[in-house]
Amino acid sequence: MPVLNLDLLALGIAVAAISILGFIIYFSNRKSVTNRLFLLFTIVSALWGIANYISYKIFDPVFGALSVRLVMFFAVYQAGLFFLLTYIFPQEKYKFSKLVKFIYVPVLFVVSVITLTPLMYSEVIIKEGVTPQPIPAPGMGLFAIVAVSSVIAGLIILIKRLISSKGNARLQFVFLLLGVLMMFGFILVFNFLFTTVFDNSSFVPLSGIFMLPFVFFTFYAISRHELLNVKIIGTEVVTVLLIILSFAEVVLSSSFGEIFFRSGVFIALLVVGILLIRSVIREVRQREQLQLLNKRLEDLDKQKDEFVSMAAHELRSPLTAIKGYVSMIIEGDTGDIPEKARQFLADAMAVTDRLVRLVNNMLNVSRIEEGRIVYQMEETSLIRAIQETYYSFRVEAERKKLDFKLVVPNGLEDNVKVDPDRIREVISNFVSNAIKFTEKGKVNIVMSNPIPGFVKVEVVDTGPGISKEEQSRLFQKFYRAESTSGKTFGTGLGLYITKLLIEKFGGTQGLNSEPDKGSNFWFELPVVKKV
Amino acid sequence: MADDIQAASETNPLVSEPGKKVILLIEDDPFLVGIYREKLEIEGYNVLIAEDGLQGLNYAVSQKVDLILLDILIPKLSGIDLLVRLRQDEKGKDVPVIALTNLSGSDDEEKIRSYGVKDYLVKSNYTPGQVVEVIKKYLP
Repeated sequence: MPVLNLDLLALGIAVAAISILGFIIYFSNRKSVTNRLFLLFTIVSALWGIANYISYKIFDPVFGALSVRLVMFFAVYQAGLFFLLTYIFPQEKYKFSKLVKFIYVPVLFVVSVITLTPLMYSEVIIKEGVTPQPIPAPGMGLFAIVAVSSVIAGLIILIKRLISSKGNARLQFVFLLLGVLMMFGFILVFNFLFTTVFDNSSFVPLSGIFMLPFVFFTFYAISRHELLNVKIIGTEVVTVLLIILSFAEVVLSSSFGEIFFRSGVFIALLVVGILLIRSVIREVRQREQLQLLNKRLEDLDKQKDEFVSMAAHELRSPLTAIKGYVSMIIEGDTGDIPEKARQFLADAMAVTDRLVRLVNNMLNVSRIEEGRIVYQMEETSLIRAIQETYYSFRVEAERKKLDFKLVVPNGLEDNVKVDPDRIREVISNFVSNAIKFTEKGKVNIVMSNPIPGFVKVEVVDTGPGISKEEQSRLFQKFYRAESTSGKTFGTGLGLYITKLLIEKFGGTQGLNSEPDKGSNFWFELPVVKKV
Repeated sequence: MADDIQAASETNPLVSEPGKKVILLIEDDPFLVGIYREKLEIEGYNVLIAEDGLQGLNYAVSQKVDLILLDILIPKLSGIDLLVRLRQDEKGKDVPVIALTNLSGSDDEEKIRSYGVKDYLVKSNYTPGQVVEVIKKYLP
């Protein structure tokens, strides 16, 4: 036999737990109407539990009658507060309507007063060895109407809200409903089924405990609405179950030695359990924070893209105008100009084109990476695309007195399926790099069919060359090679974009280079049979 | 839209030289208007200028136009909307259009191409001379 008075202990724990949860919620946000109502509900529930216990344990006609009346008195408010709580949950601010203020609450009050009179229970019959037997009076009907309709209305509201809500809010209502169902389930089984079918009312004094599920789940829904996470809830449920089991063992101990030992286990489990839950909460919180940060980063990235896109577009307009004026003067649209001026303008044109390429690269890089770029794939002659690029760089190469040649063997197969504009960008990036880094000697564009079915373009220069170490990093984003003079050029995007584009067109690209001897940048594309 | 067209017909801006092809340039940047007009006239075209989309559409459906050079980011009516309405018009639906814009690579480009433009040129990649070469492909 257990050495403790189980009835009283269970009730004490239930009442203490209910009140503590009520006050925790209240103090966590004193201004919230939901939290205030919850506190009221827990207080009334605790008092109801106590009155209920007493009513079954007192064998005195006067106090017996008083205690059963008190049970009903608190029950009225319990039902009323349950309705109001479901009505406003989980709002913090709420103004009750006139209907509630001037009709519902007064009705509750009147009925509650009636419950204290003999109109509810006329008397309590007390016999030796049998639980006290209260005799209901007509007032009971009034109580039943008010209490039952309040509870049913509350339940309907709860189910409606549950259906119409989503996500976390929905989980909150699920918790509330779960609590309500468990509460009613217990009451139905122990207060009704057991007393009527099995004629066993030994559980009725423990009714206070049956309030626990609802109080607990509502507490959870209010306090943890940001933490309604399966992982956390799972951990908490398992931990609480273990703790309850361990506590039951303490309670069911048959000797003080056992109580001592099992209490030790219980406390250890309690501590470990709390630590475990906390660590899980921390982990989940961190993950949520990471997701939030990630979202913010994505937004920022999008903003950056939009900014780059806008800025590049704005840069292009003046560049177009400069190119337009200069090209027209060079082409003689404004009449003859001195040779020296023509050379200068040709230089200006080359420099402007460099700027245009820079803007193009800036615009392209993120779009290519994200696959947002639109390619205009068509079958085209690679020779023609390269010729155009070759001509556009001639001035720049001549200025540096470089041997700048395009070598195309007879009968070259050059039909490829690419986006012609993009393939010109690829060649431009190779050639502009070669010219930029080569101070004297040659820059040659050499085309060939290394094996049938493939066309290769090599840009061979006699520049400073690139060390093996640098070669491996050259096609990376933002990597900028150092020239012999220690200067770096450009944005570090050109070769990276080249690589992305060539891969997109089903080709390969690469680099052969030796320091002090020069470099050979190349790419290879599959040849398409002409239709 | 009928009213717009009416208004445009009343103020015919073009002193047309017979025998020359007419190019409608829809462009809002005054510098670029100056450059392209100059180059096109040197090349022997009649040039009709519209500085916003609405005006451009009016000219396109009310004047004899052989080819349209169309900027996309323009006031009042965007180049895309202009294309949509132009293609619905009996007179405007067959006029060749070359998009001449600094927008590129975006979804807009795909959309614009889907309205049957002859070519899509990124302005900063082309000199006026090169633009004329492209025009000549479609206006022999």
